[in-house]
Amino acid sequence: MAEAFLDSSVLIGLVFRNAGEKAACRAALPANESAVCSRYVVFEVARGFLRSLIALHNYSFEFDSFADLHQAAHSGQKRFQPYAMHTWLGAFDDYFGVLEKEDGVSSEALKLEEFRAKLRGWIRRGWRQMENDFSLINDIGCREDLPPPTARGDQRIDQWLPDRECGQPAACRLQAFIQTRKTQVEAVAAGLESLPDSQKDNETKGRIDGLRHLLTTALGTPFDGKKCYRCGDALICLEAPAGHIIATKNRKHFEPLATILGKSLTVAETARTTQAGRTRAA
Amino acid sequence: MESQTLSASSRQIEALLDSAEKNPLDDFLRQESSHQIESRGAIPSSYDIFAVRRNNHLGDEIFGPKRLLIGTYSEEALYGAAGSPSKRFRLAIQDLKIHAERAASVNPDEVEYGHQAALVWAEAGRLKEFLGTSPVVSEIVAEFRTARFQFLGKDTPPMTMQALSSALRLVAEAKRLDAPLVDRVVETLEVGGVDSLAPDVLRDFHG
Repeated sequence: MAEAFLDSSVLIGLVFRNAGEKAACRAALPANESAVCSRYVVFEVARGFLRSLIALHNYSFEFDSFADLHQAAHSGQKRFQPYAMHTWLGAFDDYFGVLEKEDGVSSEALKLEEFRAKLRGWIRRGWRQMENDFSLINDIGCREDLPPPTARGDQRIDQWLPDRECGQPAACRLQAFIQTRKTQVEAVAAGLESLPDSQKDNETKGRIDGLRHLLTTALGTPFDGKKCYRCGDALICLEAPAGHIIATKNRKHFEPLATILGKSLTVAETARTTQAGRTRAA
Repeated sequence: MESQTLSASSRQIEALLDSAEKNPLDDFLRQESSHQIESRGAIPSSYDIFAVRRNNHLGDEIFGPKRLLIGTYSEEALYGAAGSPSKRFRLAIQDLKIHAERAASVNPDEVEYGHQAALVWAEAGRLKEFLGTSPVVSEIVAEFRTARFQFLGKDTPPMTMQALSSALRLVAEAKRLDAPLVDRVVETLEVGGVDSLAPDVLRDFHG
């Protein structure tokens, strides 16, 4: 049976989500087969979902109590919006409430300490799992030298990400990848373009624009690294090795891509799987 | 002092503050001092220890525990007086490990198993007093509390009790309390069906 190639939504599901969500992701993968992932997907998670956990951990130091942090997250501050960070705080509010009924009241300062302790462990172990638990390919030629997240002397966590070098030919081999698969990349751009308007949401339009940008940039010329990010789902489908099944929770965006490329797709059915309509945060 | 106009409670508090004997109020004040030290950064602090009785008729009066003279104390002096929180944490873990091992050795079909498991979880819940002792201790306590959260109101499978015992043994026997130890504790608990990410389940109600 074919091995699975994990997209970022399933990688997050397997590494950063609860046991039920993990089981749902595993159920979508071929039984008794190891899963393959890629450096590109790991980088996507590092600059997205994992970055949001690190940011939330570090924001917590600006507050003296968990209640103040929670209030700030619901005050409309934009920095809490990516990846629905406020949902972690709501979840922990409930969690502490359950434990308080049994073990007595905790101070708001200690709740903040406990929240941070949980995030710290998830960040550290999550990174290690992404690096060690899957075979990582790198056909796209993304960076392989990402350091792990580390706690600084002031207890803030940081992870150096070379995102400023994205699109620089000396540091990124995406252009060579595009050149070797030019026909397929053109087919994806054209295929997405031909979708009915109802299926072309802003994300898909951005993907088409990004692919065209990459196709028209001469080899060895710097390009806008953000264009690469906008093509993420398409590049993941393109990178999936022949004979592998692409595993995703994002049916909405991956189904058309897999169809265009003639690749197999398995969709993990979880609370956050996208159907024909909305995309939800991981 | 016109102590005959003070309430009975006030008289009792003052008696305890004046007492040369070890007493619960004295213990409480020492613990409070210790907590203050633990929650501060690396810059040394000093602490003024005293109690002020406020009474509208008699005015305010300052009391200090007999064995800690009123005045300013260094962190070192208070830390020594209160005892190392890490040491107290290790003792609490050692006790809990013994109880968990006892529970794990009982036949799960017997009423005694459920009884012992309930006692073990309650004891695990009390570890919360060590939150803030150090980042690593906070992580360890947080993991045991997550395990407790998962099995509230449920049977504790024998494999979970075994895993809990093993995880506690790791901490009890560790020479150093560090991040790799926490990760081994989490892996050990996972074998017993404990999910470190259990609070994530509750996120779906807030999405």
